[in-house]
Amino acid sequence: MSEGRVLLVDDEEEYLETMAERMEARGLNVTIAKDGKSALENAEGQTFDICMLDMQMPGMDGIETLQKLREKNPDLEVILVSGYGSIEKSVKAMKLGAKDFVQKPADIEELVAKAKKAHNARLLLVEARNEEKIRKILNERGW
Amino acid sequence: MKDFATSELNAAQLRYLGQMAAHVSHELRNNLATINEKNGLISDLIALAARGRPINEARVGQLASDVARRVQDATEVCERLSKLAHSPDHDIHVVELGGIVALVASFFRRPASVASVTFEPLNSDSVNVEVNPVLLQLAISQVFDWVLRERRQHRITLDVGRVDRKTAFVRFSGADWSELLETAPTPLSDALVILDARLQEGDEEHELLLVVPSAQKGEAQEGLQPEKGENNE
Repeated sequence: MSEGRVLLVDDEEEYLETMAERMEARGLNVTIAKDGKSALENAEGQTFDICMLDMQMPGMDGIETLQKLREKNPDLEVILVSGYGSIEKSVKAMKLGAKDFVQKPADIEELVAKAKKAHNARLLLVEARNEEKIRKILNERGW
Repeated sequence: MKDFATSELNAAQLRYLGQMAAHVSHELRNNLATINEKNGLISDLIALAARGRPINEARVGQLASDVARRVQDATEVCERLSKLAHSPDHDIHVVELGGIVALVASFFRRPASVASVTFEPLNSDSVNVEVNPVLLQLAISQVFDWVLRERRQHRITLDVGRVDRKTAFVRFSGADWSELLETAPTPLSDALVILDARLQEGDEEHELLLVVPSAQKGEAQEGLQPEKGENNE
């Protein structure tokens, strides 16, 4: 069973495929996207615990992709993994809801740990929401 | 006023060097990230082999060859960084114009790709010019910046040649340059004054020429036959 579902977005194809293979070997379920548009399409039909997003990509850049992903799914944890070290853009990303900013080359064990933590956090969130729903139903029925 | 203009131009040169260094850093990080992951995957496969899973030698060989290729790519990036770093060594210097154009275009590869633009240097004859190398790079980069800001065109080709005995040109083809010719940004117009250079329309539609002084030595070596663009004076 997967220990976390990751949406990995980067226009560097070799990096993307190798990173995905290594993450899957560590128990994660990884979907790759080569640009922002493809990331949004993937996020439309699937649930992810975490999105690891490159900052600078052709077409829709990381900031715009982050904004749109968060609009569609405010619970999705997004971290930026980038070789582009602009402080200004990192601050902007944080303000838009990015959880973290990791510089390339990144430590895979650190990324895997973040993904597993995000997975556990989402499970807890789902559980809490279900409990809230049940409590509401019980209240409505006067129990 | 003159001091202010000089300090503005110095600031623009520093900004140019900083921005290009940032592009190089990004390129290096991308290469290092891929090398890191490929190397990590080799380690993962070796660790699995130690636990009894047969090792796929062809796969490991391919990964090692990918690493070597990315090391080569990173080395080329470092060589370009070195050229950039040594650009301010001399105020006035004889440089090969096509080489300078290719260097600046290589720094813009990534930001251009993000904006869906390509700057494509074409094969040209070798032309030497005697200029301030940083100011020349700044002028070329200002034209590229304008293209990226406008985002109206996707493919800009670049070639160099001689206008006449005393001047050479960089030709930018593939855009409507009228707006840039009318209102060149201040760092560009200031750089042109100091370079003793100018911008003008080319012979064909959508051509822009950056005309710069030739090097005297280059002139003697390369003969006196003017190329296309001679009548643009």
